[in-house]
Order: sequence, then C-alpha cells, then structure tokens
Amino acid sequence: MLECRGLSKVYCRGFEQGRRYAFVDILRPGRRSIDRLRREEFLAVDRFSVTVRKGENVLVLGLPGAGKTTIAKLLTGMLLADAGDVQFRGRLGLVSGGKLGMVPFLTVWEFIQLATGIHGAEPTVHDACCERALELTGLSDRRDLKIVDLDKGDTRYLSIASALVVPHDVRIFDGVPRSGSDRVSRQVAALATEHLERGSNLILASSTANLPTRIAHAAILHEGETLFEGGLESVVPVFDHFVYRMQRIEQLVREAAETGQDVDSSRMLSPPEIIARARRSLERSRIGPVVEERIAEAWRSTRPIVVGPYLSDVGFELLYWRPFVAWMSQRFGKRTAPVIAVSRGRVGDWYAGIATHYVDVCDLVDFDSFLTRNRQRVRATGSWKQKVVADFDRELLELVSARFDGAESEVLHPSLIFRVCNRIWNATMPHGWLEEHGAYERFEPAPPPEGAGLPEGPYIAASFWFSSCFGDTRPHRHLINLALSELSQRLPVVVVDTGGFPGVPESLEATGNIRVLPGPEQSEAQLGLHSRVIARARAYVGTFGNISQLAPFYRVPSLLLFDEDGGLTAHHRRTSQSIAEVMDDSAIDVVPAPELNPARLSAWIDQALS
Amino acid sequence: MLLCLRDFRYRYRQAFLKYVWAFARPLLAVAPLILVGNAFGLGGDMSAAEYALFALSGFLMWQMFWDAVISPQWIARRLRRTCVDGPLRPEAMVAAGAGLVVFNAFFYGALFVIAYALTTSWPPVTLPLGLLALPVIVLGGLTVGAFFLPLTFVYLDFRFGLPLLSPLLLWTAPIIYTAPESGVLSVINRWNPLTYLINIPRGWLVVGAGPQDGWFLVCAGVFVVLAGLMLRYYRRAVPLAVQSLPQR
Repeated sequence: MLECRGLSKVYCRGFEQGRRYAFVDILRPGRRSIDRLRREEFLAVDRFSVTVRKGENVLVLGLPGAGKTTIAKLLTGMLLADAGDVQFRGRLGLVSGGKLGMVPFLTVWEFIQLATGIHGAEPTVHDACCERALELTGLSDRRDLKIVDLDKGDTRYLSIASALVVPHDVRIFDGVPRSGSDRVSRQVAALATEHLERGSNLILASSTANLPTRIAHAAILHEGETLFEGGLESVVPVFDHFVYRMQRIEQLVREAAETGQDVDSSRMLSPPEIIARARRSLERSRIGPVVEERIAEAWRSTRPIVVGPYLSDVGFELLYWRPFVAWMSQRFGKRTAPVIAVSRGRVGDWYAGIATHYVDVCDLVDFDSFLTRNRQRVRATGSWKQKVVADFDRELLELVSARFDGAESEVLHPSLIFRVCNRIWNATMPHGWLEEHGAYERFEPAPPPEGAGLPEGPYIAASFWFSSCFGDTRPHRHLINLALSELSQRLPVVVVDTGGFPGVPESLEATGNIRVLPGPEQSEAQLGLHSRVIARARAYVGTFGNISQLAPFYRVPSLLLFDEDGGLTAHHRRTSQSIAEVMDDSAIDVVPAPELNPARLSAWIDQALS
Repeated sequence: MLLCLRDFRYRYRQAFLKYVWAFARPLLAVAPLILVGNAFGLGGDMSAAEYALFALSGFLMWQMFWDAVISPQWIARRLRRTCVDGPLRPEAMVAAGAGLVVFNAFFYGALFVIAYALTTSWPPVTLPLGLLALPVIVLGGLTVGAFFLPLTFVYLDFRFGLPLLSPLLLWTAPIIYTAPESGVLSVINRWNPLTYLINIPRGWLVVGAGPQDGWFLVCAGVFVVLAGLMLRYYRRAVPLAVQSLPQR
C-alpha cells in the first residue's frame, strides 16, 4: 500500500531565484517552509493525500502544470517534500516519458541495463527485464549497436519500456502511454494497459483517454490543490467540463488581449467555481446510465423495437444516431423479435445489417404531409433536433405499429441520443461517451442509383452549401468555384445539392462536365439517391457536415471544408476524427478552408484518385 | 556499477587512445614532479631512486584521495538529466564515483609495482597495513566530494573552483617532499589531516612502521564520523539541488 498525507512542495517561479534558495537551503536546513513562503515561492503541491491499496487504481486528473509530475517525484523520492509524509513498503516504480539522460556512446544493451537498474530491477531478474525491454522495443537484434547509430524513432520507447518491464508492487504512471500507428508504440501501450488493468497504480493524467476500466478513486488536481474527488463516474465528466471551461477562459483572455478589450468578468470563473458548477450540473443529469438502462430494458423485452422515427438533420444521423443504433445491436446482440428502423428519404441502405426492417416515413404519410408536419414539429418543439418525442413522432410510431399488426413495441426514440449530446455539448458529460456508445463501421455496399442520369464511368461527388462553419463569403465562393474547376478537369462531377448550393459558374457550366442533383425536398427518395451517388463516387469534396459525413462510411476518400470552428463544429470534428481512427481504411481530410489552395487541392485529388 | 560503466563508456569511447589515458594521466603528472623534486632536493637525504619511489607512492595515494573527491562530480554532472527524469538514488552517484576510483587504483597499483621493480626495493612487512588503509583514504575523499556534489548542481562555480583546491592539498601535506622540521610549512603539515591520512599509509607501503602511526587511526575515526554526517546532509541536499535544475 502506498499512502501519503498532507504532501506539500514549495517551488520558486524564477529560475535564478530558485537556485539561490536551493543553495541557501542546502547549507542551512530549516529555512524552507510551507507556512513562510519567500519571494517568488509558491505551493506547487498543497497538502495532497492519497492512498493506493493493493489491486486498486487511483486516478489524479489535472491540466499541464497542475502538479502531477511533482507528486510523482515526491512519492518516488526524487524531490524532497516540504511537508507531509509518504509511507510505502515494497517496490515502487515510476513510468514517465523521461529519457533518463540517454548517453549516445552506450550500446542499446548497456542503456537498457542502466535504465532498468535505475528503475529498480533486482539482480536476480535484471537480465530477464533487459531481454523483455529489447523484445518490446524490437531491438533484440541490434543490442550491440550504439545509441548514436540508431534512428531517433527506435530510441523513443527505450526508456519507458525499461520502466514497464521491471516488477513493482505499485506503479506511478505520470501520463498514460498512448498507442500510435507503429508496432512498438502499440506493444508498449499494451503492456502499460496490462499493468493498469491489474491494479495497484497511481495514475496521473491530463486527459481521460486510455484509462483503465477499474478505478477505485479519482481526484482533480489544479495548481497543486485537490479541487474535487470521488468515483470515476463523477470525476471524469467534471474534469471534462473543467478542461473545456479553462480552455474557453484562456481563449477569452487571448481574444481580449488581441482586441484590447476587457474580459467579461462574469465569464471568468475561478477553478473551484467551475468545479462546483460542473458538480451541480452532473448531479442534475445522470442521463448516460438512464439511457443505457432504457436500451437494456428494451433489448430484454420480447416485443419489437422501433428505433426512430428519425426526422432531423442528416449529418447528426450519420455521426451519432446510426452509430448509436449499431452499438446497441453490437452491445446487446441479436434478438428474435424485430428491430425496426424508421427514418426518411429512403435511406434503408444505412440501416442494413443493424435493423431487421426499415420503414420509411413516406411509407406512412405522403411526402408533402411529411414536409409540412415536420416543419410544424420544429415550430412546436422549438428545435430542429428531436430532443423530445413530439406529436408527429407519436403518430408515426402508431402507424408503424399498425404496419406490424398493431403489436406493442419498445421505442428507442432519437431523443435518447439528442439529450446525451446536449449534455456533451454543454460539457457536463465527457465526449468519450459518444465514442464508447458508437459503432463506427463501414456501410454495406449500396446498389447503383437509378434514374439519376449519372455519367457512365467514374465520377467525383461534391456538395457545397453555406453554414455557420462555412459562411457565405467571397473567398468561400471562390473556393467552391476553384474546387469545381479542378475536379471537373479530372473526372465528371456530380454535385449533390442539399439545399444551399450556390450554383455552377457559367464558365464551368459550358463544359458540361458538372451535373447537379436537386435537393432532398424535391422528392421523397432524393436523400437515398444522394446517398447512392456518393457511395459509388471515386472521391468526395464538400462542406463539412450534413450528407458529407456519409462518404467515409462507404470508403470514399473525402475532403471536407470548414472555416469557423465555433458552435458544435469542434464536437462534430472530434467525432469525425474518431471515425477516421477507428475505420482504418477510410480517408477523411477535414481541412480549414483558408488552408486549401490549388496546389493542395490538386495533390489531394491525385492521391484520392490514385 | 552500471553508472560507473556508463561514465566509463562516455569518457573513453570518445577518445582515440581509449584506456591508455587511465595509465598515462598519473604517470605524466608525477614524472615532472619527480624530476623537479630530485633537482631541488625535496627528498632530503634520500637517494634519487628512494625519492622517486617516495614521491610516486605519495602522489598516487594523494591521487586516489583526489579521484575520490572529484569522481562523484564527474558522474553527477553527466547524470543531471537522469536525476530529473528518473528515480535515481542519490547515493548511486557517490558509489559510482567510488567505482571509478577503484578502477584507477588498479593502474596506480601497476605503476607502484613497476616503481618497486625499477628501484629494486622490497616492500616492508607493513605493506598489508598500507593496502588496508587505502579504503580509508577513498572514504575521506568521497566525504569531501559528497559535500560539493549538490552544490555543483546549483552553481557551476564549485565545479570550476574545485580543481584549484588540488595543488593546495598536494603542497600543504608532505606528499612529494619530506616534512620540514620547523617553519610555517611544518605547522601547516602538522595540522593538515592529509599528512596523516596519506603519509602514514605511504610509510607502511614503502618504509615500514613509524612513531606517529596512531594518528592514522584518529584520522580514520574522524573521517568515518564525518562520512556519516555527510551522508545525512547529502541525502537531503541532492533532491534540493535537483529541484534547482531545469525540469524540462
């Protein structure tokens, strides 16, 4: 068991002053005190206490500079505490990113011997630890090479691997090793995960990514002070909210400095105030477990499940709703009773494989009624997004039920995910919830679009519109024209008009190489048609959002443009990034509009078409 | 041991002549001293060969003491990043310094044997006592070195200034000259602990027992106590010194 009580550490802000104090303190003990801070001194760690029991993980979250590394150094005796005490029996290890002053003239074997020695490898297991570290870093066959003769990339994980292979009773992780794209980083991260899952660790982290599943206790540290502690389920959302707010305050201060204006003091909350607000908000909303319980309950029943009706924006359906429905079927498995997906626009292709039946809204009501009633729904609920079950939804659900012989069914309405997202966008729930509750997988191949009058050979799909993240400005219009011009020089272009396409310039129209498909309000099957057009394209270029989110699910290389990262774009971009990471074979490039020039566009097209 | 090896590789792998330097350095340092000492009669009544053995043995023992003072600094200087990055025990730096002294001691021993052969002298029966005294000399040097080590982390002045102490220590003890009967130097010699720490074991190695041998035990006792106190100071001072280093 590792236990520390009231651990404090005094630091000095100025380097020169710090050296002067160090010199005096070395020669005259007793000068340094947490109660009598000298000029430029501050408490880097203020009365920190923690207990790590055998088999338990304890998590301390904090922004960079919160005091995490100092705590790690105090616990391992690398620094001397100015107050408090540490009690530990056994072997205590430190896993951090430090390179341990790698000497280039040592051979790989010598360095690993030294590094494992510093990390406390006992003589009886020392050589075995070194062999394991070599194996982990893939350097077994190069053990006699000098460090100076190795590629820099090969030496990157030597130190951390050396820390991980040494047996310890309790480990302190100063940061959690993340898995990269290369084999060595994956192996190192896997070993770290193995230790983390086994327990007996103190994890000091600045993000909530890659955390182990079992954490007995968690705390938030800021400027050396413990602001909040509790269970993982409460600390993580509070921390995510805290990070978001702190970044926002930083942004406000930066903007104020640039514009020379005063910062609105009402928005400059202190860290404890932010934590207090996040806690209140968290207590109000325990939406995540409620949603999960609702789904589990529906899945347990023997009645049909209706997922929908989905009537809202396409981008949201693709990024959140459809992956959420896919996650449900993955998480809870196949059922004997049917799962009926209800949506609009004849997009049954999207639900193939995750729902046993697809019912289109226009099978239930005619297209014009759908458009009218949906607008009424938006007016009545005050939002385009389906945050509540509206009257129109209820009517549609009754009609679905009637189609299935009036059988009573379990309904999983899109408001489930909209309510969760609302919390996430307000930063009172971690964004990671969406990644944990979304199955990002490739869609089943779509049949060819019929009646679209498409070119016979390969083509490029495009879709441009103006939005809050891609405003109607002269440079953006110029960019659209440039993109259409570049694309049409390579292959025929099919523009999918989602309702805001500014039109093909006359100069390009004359080439006859660009065809525009009208918007989804033209006919009940238009959205499905758009979907199939994109699914069969060689490449896709368009504004970020809406139907543009579709291309990666069909493995169509896509270039998505945005400008302003305001509103919800940052959240959507993060989800988009997660999709790119999870779906190895998808190629999504989300590019800020000002960064796209003809050369870059041309290079992207070359790569996409190759 | 590993730290010692690390320093070793670092130092000699960059040199063309490699380990030849370990042998050449003390030899090149002491040769002019012997020549000049003989010319100026620093050995008193001793013959040239006797003086050569006297000066060489004294210098090599003093060099062991000095190596013990300076080696931990060398090691520590190159371990600054390691101290910042990893859980390195402070005592390891002093232990590695002692390792370097032991390594050098093999070369000094070889030189000593060669000197015996060249001067056709036979070691006295007190030789084992002289050998047993060597660890005490090293302990004395390490005690002084451990005091300066944390300070060199904070200010390099101590590292730059420490070599200046070397000639002072060499010439204030009768190491390459016979102790004068009277005068200022005689008083300085008498009050300098190095006189007893080096001269008496040197006597055991070269000429045999002497009337002042008991002082060595007193000196050894003082250094053992000092070493204990220094260890307490050192364990407290090194983390403070590491804290003053740039942490990134």
